[in-house]
Amino acid sequence: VLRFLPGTSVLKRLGHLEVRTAVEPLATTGQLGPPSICDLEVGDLARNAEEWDRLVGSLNALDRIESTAANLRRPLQVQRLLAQRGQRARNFPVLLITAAAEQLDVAVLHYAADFDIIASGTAPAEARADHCHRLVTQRVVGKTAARQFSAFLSWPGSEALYSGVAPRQRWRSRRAARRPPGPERPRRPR
Amino acid sequence: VNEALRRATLRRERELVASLDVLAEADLDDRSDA
Repeated sequence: VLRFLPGTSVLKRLGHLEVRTAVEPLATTGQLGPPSICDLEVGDLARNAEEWDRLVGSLNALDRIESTAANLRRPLQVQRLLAQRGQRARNFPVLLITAAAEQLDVAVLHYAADFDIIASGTAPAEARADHCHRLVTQRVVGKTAARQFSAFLSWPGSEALYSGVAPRQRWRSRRAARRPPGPERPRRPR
Repeated sequence: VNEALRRATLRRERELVASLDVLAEADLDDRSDA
């Protein structure tokens, strides 16, 4: 019985022992099926045609979950919800995978901070409003996901992506905020 | 019938593990930041 959809962030980390240990038993018992959007993401990482065939072909062995029309509509709603909070998901596949998981009522296995953002943006308010739409996310290794999230946030201006402000504008305003309060310092003459 | 089923299950498991190996050996994690 299908219980988990893996995000591409998990498929990319199958070389990590802790990820492989979590994923393999689920895959061999049919509890895990990657959404078809993962093909595009994995294929995008191929260095040449031969590797593309090998990588995307390897996904054929797993029970693929095909996207439906509803899976394409729901991301728009979620995107709107996030925009309302001044947030956005970094990549579209994350929205599609969560939509598929929501529809199938299964959990997402992931390593990407975007899933947590979507869950925090949709789960509490939406679940109360509409019990049919329940979003569940589950990390393979929580600590690593959190660490990755911190690393992402440490990129200069990156947090602005989540607050809906253009990075450069946000970066300037933060510099201004760090300036100590007090009278305006006189400008040095040129 | 049981034996045939067992063999089919084993074959399917081997295919899955081989597929996971292909993805693991490609080190896709090193190719992007997401």
